Amino acid sequence: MTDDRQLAEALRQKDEKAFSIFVTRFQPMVARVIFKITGDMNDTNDLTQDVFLTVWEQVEDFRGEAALTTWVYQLATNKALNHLKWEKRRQFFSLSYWGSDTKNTSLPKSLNDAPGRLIREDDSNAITAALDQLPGQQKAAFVLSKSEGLSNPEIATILGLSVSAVESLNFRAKQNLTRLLKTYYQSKTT
Amino acid sequence: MKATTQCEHTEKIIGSLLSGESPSAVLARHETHLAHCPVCRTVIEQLPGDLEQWQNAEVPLLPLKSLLPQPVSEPVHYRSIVMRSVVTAAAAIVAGLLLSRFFVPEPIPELQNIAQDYALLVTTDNSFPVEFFNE
Ligand SMILES: [Zn+2]
Repeated sequence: MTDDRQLAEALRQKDEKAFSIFVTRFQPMVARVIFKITGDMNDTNDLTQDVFLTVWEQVEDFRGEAALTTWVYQLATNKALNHLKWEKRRQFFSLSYWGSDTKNTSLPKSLNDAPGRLIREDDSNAITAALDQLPGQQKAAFVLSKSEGLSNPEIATILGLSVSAVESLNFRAKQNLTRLLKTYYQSKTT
Repeated sequence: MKATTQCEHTEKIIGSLLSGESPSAVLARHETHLAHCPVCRTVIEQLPGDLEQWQNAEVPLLPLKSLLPQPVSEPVHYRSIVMRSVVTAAAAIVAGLLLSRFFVPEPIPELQNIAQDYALLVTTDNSFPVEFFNE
């Protein structure tokens, strides 16, 4: 069952063996994308479970003409982006938002300030820290392009945007990252 | 403020590296500048590694079983499991405290008889040596 179309058909038939093949094949990709967008391992585990539950329950919604991979990317990216929106709202209404200096737009020197964010256990990775400052869609476009190696038309399908909108997202992501990284490396030099 | 913080090459170098240009190509193009600019040198020394580490970051995977369809259609959320255990443990402690507060042990008949005999002895016989019981 190596062919995507066969696999999708077996999933539609609620074939549990096909589903374990599907999970084995797609879990690394789903977890990687969600983790790079949310930056949080606990959220990644919960959202990864959500993605596969959605696949199991809504496989009928998958249209055969799109690649199975694209559909899975779409589910993973959407869940991660929705989660970021929800998280942002939650942070806005939490007391700590008003009492702390988290609104600071410069790159944090210590990246250890958010519990549960495993990737920040060391502050050695400037990309992760800089990406954390970007709006969700810019972050998603950058992850899909630079980490997953997808083309702009593929990213456009996944994000439900036009190709020019994706080009613009990538442009702004790169511009913002450059600015943030410049500040970061300057602070490391002085 | 150091003159290097105003370097106009830094953004170009970062941009080229983010666009996927090879570090050696970037290095060759900016060689003369890099020889005397510490900020741009930090960028060329660290950014390619940071980028590669980020791209190849491994994410620990969940056991296959936890992602397969459950008999109950609810997903097994890891945090819910932790929360549930915490709530169960807290409930057990509260229940324990309540029980220890309100639980009155059943009187044991033999002990009751001894107590009654003792009460009778103390109240009726003034010569009874109380110390006897204290030993
Ligand atoms: Zn420079």
